[in-house]
Amino acid sequence: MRNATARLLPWLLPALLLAAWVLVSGMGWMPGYLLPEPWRIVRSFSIYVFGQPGSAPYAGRFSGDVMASLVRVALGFGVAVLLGLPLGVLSGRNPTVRSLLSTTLDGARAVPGISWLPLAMAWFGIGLGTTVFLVAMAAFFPVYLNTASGVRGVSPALCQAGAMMGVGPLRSVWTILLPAAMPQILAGLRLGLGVSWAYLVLGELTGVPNGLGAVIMDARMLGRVDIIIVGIVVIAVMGRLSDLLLTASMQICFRSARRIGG
Amino acid sequence: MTGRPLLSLKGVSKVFRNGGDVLEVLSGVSCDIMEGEQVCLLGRSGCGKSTLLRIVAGFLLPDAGHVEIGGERITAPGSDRCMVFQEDALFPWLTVRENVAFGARRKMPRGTLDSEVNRYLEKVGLASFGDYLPRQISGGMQQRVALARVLILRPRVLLMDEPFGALDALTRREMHKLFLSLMKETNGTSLFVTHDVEEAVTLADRILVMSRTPGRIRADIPVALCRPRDRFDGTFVRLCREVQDLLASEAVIA
Ligand SMILES: Nc1ncnc2c1ncn2[C@@H]1O[C@H](COP(=O)(O)OP(=O)(O)OP(=O)(O)O)[C@@H](O)[C@H]1O
Ligand SMILES: [Mg+2]
Repeated sequence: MRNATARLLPWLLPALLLAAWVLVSGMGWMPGYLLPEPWRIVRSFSIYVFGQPGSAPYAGRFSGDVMASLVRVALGFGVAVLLGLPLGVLSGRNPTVRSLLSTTLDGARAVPGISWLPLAMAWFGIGLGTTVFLVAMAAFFPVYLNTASGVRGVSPALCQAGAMMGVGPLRSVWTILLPAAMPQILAGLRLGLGVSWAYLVLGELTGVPNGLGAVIMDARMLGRVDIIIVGIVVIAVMGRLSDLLLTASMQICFRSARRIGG
Repeated sequence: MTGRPLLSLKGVSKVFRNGGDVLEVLSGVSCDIMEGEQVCLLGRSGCGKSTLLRIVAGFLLPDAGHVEIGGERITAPGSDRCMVFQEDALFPWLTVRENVAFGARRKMPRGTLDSEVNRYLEKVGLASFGDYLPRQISGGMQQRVALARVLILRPRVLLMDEPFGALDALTRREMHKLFLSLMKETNGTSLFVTHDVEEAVTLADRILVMSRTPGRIRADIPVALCRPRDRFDGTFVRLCREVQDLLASEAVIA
């Protein structure tokens, strides 16, 4: 009984919110063009997903938008990981690298991500380049910073133990540093992936033809609040799913992710 | 004991610089250790025991002098000199079995590896704990894993930095027995650090008492008691007191 309560508890608040929504829109306390009834959102969603393209605005665009956004997030996050992980390991390991990078990176980090937008548009134009740049820029810092502090916190005794058992400095990165820092690295990756979705939307607001952010922006101009809400929900679900997928695949690939931290 | 020493410290000196501060930690430490000897480093906190051990392990280079093992100069860490650390230095993401196999994996084919790991787990009494993670076993068990993972590499010298310091008295005595039986079985050689005079007299064939700032070897005391040693025996108690007095007089000087 207690178990069932515990499992239902996280859904209590969403259920109450939904009830309030039904009440507010059903009683006409807020006009339908600002807050459509839930069933209209469901209908818009099914048209968005299953509709014959061209039969209605937004019909059947779902898979194309999701694919476009996924590719942008994957590319941007991928660049962030490819740069952030090795740089994080280097600066966590080597004080010279750390002080070499510190001013530059701390300075760049102090700049709000959104202020890169005009520069990115000037450099990369509207479309893939700008979005990937913004996502990579934003996701880099959590990945880099967490990796660096994780690697820096690895007890010297672990590295010395490795050295005396015949693991050279290069191989110890893979066999000792990364596993030992895994809880923090995973935290950094998850944070990075989270902000990736945020900056994806920012990048797509600039007038690209497809993608989840583009749909939201487009719907705003056409006054389609239902589609805006559909877009928001899809982004929330994609964000959560990608986070679960990331954690699960790390746990499948690395025993350190399974066995320590978390 | 005849012939050449297995481990030879020749005028080892070490200076640490902290900004403008110069701290002379070791100054001209020399000693020879024969094969099969258990040698204990005893001294006040901060006299450089750990530093000396880390130099022998190759984690640290001396500023002057050098260390030889079997006549060869030590310049880097190697599995001929393995260390059991004071703090817990097992790999927390590896099981007990994987920890013991960590270094051995590189040294033997897979078939022998498994049976060797089992053999050493049995030696330290952890045969049924192979699949546990370090955090799931007690401190005494963790130190036994630490012992097994280096003994399996058959080091020529076993280095231990206060290996049993964190254990309760009873577990510590069990570890002493285990350590002595393992060393006897393999005619092993060890150089270890302790704060505990009784532990030193129980385990060591020789006790090197160190002085502080700079660290030097102040006395080299042979422990000619037969084994197994009885800590209530008169000679044992007298030797403990003698060493204790030596340490206490050092405190006044420092
Ligand atoms: N990496 C280092 N940098 C600067 N000073 C150091 C360093 N390592 C040790 N020291 C100094 O060297 C001295 C000896 O340290 P060491 O750890 O060898 O002492 P110890 O005899 O092992 O002491 P304890 O019994 O407390 O463990 C101490 O004064 C310490 O402050
Ligand atoms: Mg010490």
